[in-house]
Amino acid sequence: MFSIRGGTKFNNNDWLRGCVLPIGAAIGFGLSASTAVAGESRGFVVDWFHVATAYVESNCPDGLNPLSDEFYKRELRRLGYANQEVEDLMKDFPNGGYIPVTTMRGRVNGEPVNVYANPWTQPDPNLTPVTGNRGFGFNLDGKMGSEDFIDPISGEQGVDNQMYRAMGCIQNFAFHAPDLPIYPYAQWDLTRDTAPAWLIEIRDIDDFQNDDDISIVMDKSVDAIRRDTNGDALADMTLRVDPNSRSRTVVQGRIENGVVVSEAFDAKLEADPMLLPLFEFSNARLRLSLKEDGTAEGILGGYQPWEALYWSYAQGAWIVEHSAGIDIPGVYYALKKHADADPDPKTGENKAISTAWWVDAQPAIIVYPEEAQTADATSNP
Amino acid sequence: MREAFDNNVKITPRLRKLRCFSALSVVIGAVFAAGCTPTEMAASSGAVEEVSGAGGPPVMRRLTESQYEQVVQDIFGPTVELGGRFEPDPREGGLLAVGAGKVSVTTSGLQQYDIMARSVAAQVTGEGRRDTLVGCAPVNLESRDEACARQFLKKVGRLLYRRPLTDAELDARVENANVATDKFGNFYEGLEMGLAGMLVAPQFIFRQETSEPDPQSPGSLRLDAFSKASRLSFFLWNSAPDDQLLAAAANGELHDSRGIARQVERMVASPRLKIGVRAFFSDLLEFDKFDELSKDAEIFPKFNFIAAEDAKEQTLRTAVDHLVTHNGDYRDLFTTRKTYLTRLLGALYRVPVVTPDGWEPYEFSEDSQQAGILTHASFVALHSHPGRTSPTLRGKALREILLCQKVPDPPGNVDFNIVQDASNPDFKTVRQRLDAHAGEPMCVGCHKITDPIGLALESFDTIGGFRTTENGTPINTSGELDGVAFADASELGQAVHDHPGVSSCLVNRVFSYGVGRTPTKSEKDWLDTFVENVFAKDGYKFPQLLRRIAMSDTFFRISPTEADAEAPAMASAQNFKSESEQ
Amino acid sequence: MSAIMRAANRRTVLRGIMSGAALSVGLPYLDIFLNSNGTALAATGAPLPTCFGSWFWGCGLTPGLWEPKTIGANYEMSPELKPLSAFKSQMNVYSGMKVFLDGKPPTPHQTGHQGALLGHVPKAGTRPDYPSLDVLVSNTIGTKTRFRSIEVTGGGSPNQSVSRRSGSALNPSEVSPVALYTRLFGPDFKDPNAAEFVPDPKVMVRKSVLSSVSDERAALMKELGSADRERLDEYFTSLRQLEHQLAVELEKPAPMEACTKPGAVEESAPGLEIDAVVKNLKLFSGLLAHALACNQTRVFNVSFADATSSVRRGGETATHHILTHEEALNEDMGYQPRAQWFNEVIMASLADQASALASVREGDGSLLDRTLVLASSETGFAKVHSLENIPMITIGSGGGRVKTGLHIQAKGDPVTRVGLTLQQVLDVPVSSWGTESMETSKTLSEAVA
Repeated sequence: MFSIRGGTKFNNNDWLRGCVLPIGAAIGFGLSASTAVAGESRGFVVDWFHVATAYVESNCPDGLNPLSDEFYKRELRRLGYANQEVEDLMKDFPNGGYIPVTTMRGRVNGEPVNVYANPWTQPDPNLTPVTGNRGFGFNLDGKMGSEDFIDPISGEQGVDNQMYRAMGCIQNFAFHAPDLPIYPYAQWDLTRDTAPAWLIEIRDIDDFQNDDDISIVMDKSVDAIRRDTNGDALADMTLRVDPNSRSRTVVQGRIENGVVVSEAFDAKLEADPMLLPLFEFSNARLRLSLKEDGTAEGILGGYQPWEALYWSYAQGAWIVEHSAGIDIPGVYYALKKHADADPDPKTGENKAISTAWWVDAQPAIIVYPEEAQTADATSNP
Repeated sequence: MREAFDNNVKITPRLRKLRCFSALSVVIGAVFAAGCTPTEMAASSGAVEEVSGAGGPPVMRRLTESQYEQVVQDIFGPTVELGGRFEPDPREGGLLAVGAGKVSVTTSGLQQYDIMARSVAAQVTGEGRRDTLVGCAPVNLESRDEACARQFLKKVGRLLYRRPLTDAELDARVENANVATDKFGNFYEGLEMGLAGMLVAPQFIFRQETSEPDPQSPGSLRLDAFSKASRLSFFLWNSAPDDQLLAAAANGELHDSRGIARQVERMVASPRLKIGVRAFFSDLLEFDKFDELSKDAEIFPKFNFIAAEDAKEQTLRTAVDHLVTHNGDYRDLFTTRKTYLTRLLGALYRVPVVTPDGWEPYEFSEDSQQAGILTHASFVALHSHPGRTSPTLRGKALREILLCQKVPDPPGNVDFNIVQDASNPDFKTVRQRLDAHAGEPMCVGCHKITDPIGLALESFDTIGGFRTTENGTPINTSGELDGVAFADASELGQAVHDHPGVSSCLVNRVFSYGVGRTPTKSEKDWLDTFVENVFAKDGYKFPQLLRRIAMSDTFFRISPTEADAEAPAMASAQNFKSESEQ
Repeated sequence: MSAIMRAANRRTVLRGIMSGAALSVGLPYLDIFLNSNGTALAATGAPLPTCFGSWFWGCGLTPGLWEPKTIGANYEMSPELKPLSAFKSQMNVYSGMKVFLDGKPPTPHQTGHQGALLGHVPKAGTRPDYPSLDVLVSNTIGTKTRFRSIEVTGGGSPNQSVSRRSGSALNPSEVSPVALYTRLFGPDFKDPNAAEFVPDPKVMVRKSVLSSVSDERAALMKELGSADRERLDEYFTSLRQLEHQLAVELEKPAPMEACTKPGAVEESAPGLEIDAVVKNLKLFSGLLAHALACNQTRVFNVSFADATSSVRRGGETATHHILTHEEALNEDMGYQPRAQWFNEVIMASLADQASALASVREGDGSLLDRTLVLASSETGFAKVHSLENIPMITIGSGGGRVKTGLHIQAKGDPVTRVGLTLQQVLDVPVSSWGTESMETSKTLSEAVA
């Protein structure tokens, strides 16, 4: 029940008739030339998706946040354990007796509670934030704020990316894209073989270098990527759009010097629950650089509910804390403090935070459900 | 046909000599009456002369890997695992089927046959399968039951040895089973050893053909009936004869042209023909080389081991679909845009494949260069280097595999630097590099034969992906094949389609494949007229070609061997008399 | 030259001929290896048995540091494998192979070794109902000894084992060298040279079956022309050689001259502190070498520690595992130096095992010559639990069954190709191995002697 958008429909015959040059079919030869068939489309599948980190030492002049063995000791001492008791509890780290204690390090009326479910029940450990001004993303609010960044690739100023400000000095986020920050890398890598792939299609391209009127369609597939021999998503593979997905987003945009830039949009992207069940973006932008080899890379940024982002770490509880060195209650406070949009009408506290995500994409052939039928494969020899 | 078995004629050298000069012409038109469609009748209404002198020698062939697998699967079921590996089948005269007639078994190879024999035998007599496969049960599980052992080994031995066992052979295997039963105190463990003995025996591993005097053509030799059955069966099904075919051999049907025709029609109509056709093209197109094929993963990350398997399968499906399912013209294999693809192949060719797992039919568009099996990854990738294409290898493969022409190997002291350096800014395309290289006088002769056709396929990279430029320079795909000019790969396909060599090569290869050796001079002459008079008139239909050859007298004609002169009983068929006949 | 090596060379010659063009070359009769009674091999007794070991560690190696830069023979030893330099010509390095998930979610630190050693990745929440490679090998070569296999770990917990008979039956590891000493060389120790020899009835029957096939030679020969006769003769020569090998098995084996009872070992504290792990494993290596030399077992499994590699340096809390995840990549070096340190220690411990085997001298060679050790890990990049490019190494040739001194790269291929190849050279009846995308029948033929 799928077709190539813009192509002749597949007939339910033995053979597909009038097969079209599909999206992506010309990838790899001639993309660099800015000639495009009028109204041409390009399909992509997201290969890597992770927090866009831009670590340079000047971003974290006070150093990076401590790893878990250190902050666990700090927390145990705060709870009143003597030095020797702390050493005993931590003796078999990462296994051992400290786990129930640090897990239940929250206090409500003096009683231990699970700190990951109730992060406000421990004092703010005051994670060291990013204080420098290098950060990926977009100027979402149109203002030049004192906390804003300069994007190291696009050069855009006034960039709003408070999530990076909150978390960028955590050791496992101290990487400069396109290097992959380790914990986000592992999160994505563990899910991408099984999770439905994310699709991006750039439509109505008349000129690959400069075109002031294109549209961008984001969708979720029913298929997962397959890996090539280098472990990347297999290029030019067919992926079917999920007809029941909430992920579809259509937005207008333009191409400037080979870089696709979207207008502002709101979007919902369904993802693997291990990562985050739903990425909700408001006032978002996409910037995607179309490369000569047919791949694309860029940034997706916007405002997201910060509590959902918190839960993406908190669900991993102590395992994430000890193996990724992420102080989970610390992240809670940091996100809350740096949230910069969507104030709660009652409390005035911001419910959303500006973010930026790195996107690597491979060329893909995208087929849509509503336009045709599947090929009949019953007559195979 | 009892006399065929009982015949014990000593062939004298003088008689042999005489026979060599006796030419036999047989009108075979009538033979086809049994199963011809009206069009086929029209084609065959012109009588075809078999310009047959003496045939070639009988051939002793080692079962190829795929035949061994097929035979075990056919006799014992598809879930029996072999549990061993095979020595490589050598290729000769363009075919593994011919190499199989030149090769023996090494010690390490026999060790593997022994491992597989015991593994298969253990599964067949094991608890899960014995009830269905053994067909009888011992009176007492712990002790020998000669009748049951004999019944099973006789039944299965006939299928494995492809003829009834001699009394001595059957006695020996039954004795193996009995001795083992005594030793292990278990009937089935004993039976296992009897069966293992058969599976490791040369009568199973080798297809040994035997000849006998031809009573219809005094002075000539023919294959004995069971050897005929094997020839037919491996030719059409890539497997051992089934029960019906063995019965036909036993009752003399296969020494009668109508009897042969009946069996051939039955076999050609069977779904197993597709297995046979796959096996032939797998052999012809050298797909065994896929086992050793590797591509530079850094440059071509799409080409993993699954894509390689799929590439091979794509062409086999295309061939079987076109030739058998649709009874198409063989030559159209070089122009057809219809094929079957998987998602991985879709990625390789950059075309949509909706089916997430498995195969779907696909037709490349009319204006695409993907036309015919020469443009499949199975051809352009198999005949390339790991990191770059090779018009020379592709051209050589086309000439040798599909036109049966021999391209000389390069001389020993050649400087390949210019050809291999794809980064040389002076020579951006392989055509430019080859031009520079072939400027050397010692190279130009051979490259003239291979390169112009190989260069047409330059629009396909090392793994079969389509391209129009190399290092940013447009690729020139024009050239000529034996005087026929073409502009690109699809026109090359048309030129191959129209090349007279392509059908005569096929006919020669099909014949060689069936008889296990290259044709003799007189067979070659016959095949040449056959191409023109029969194959062309039949519309180059492949099943019809198989049918014609399988029904021809030439297919079974045998020349005397040295052994015939020396051995007192050159026709050993009398030993194979089945008990049921007595 | 030992009898085993001679047999191996003979195989090589035949293989060379078969794969080359000289198909019509008449093969020399195998009689050159036999005396007039065909008993030259037997005169020295049956060749010493082939042994197999698996050696497992967690958290892999450092991508870019462990793979040799060149492929094939004469590869240059990579920095991380330097501790194994002494064995370069006796080992192979396998790179580029991966574990396929086929849509199943991975379990960090488990999926990798399940793929490599079971050939199978279980569905989430299910147990892998497949035996491990060592068990498959032991079913063929390990059934006649006192122990089918011996499992040990340096990490202190019996659960640290990757050897399993089935989904529910883990073969637990010995954690104490003293306990292993007692198990092997305590009161139940059987001196292999004192033991009464009982020929295997199965081998006797097999030999009689082959002999009866041999008896049909004359009947089959007379129907053939001379070229075919030569070929069939070659078959029967191979058959006689096979019969002969069985005949040798029916004779009392050569004395295990290298078998000595080791001196008692002292208790060594177990734990995950790396010095203790290495020390324990060194004791185990010696005991395992003695166990093989005395034919108490032919199969062994070593787990360096747990699959997560929770080992740590004395005085530090950050484990190898934690460091692989948490330590930043050193920008200049391009890797994590503190985590990488452990990899070198682990490779040195593997070298300890190889040295222990090599130090047992047997005739012209050593125990290592007739042993094949597969060292493997569960990830290609521990930082992210990558299932690509799983490090695998073999040391020893299994009595000339494997060609050595090679770096074999098979990028993107299933990791099961190594397991299939090792099973086949060790005579396990298997033509394909692994499940789903990891099912393979592609032997790494370049490694087969």
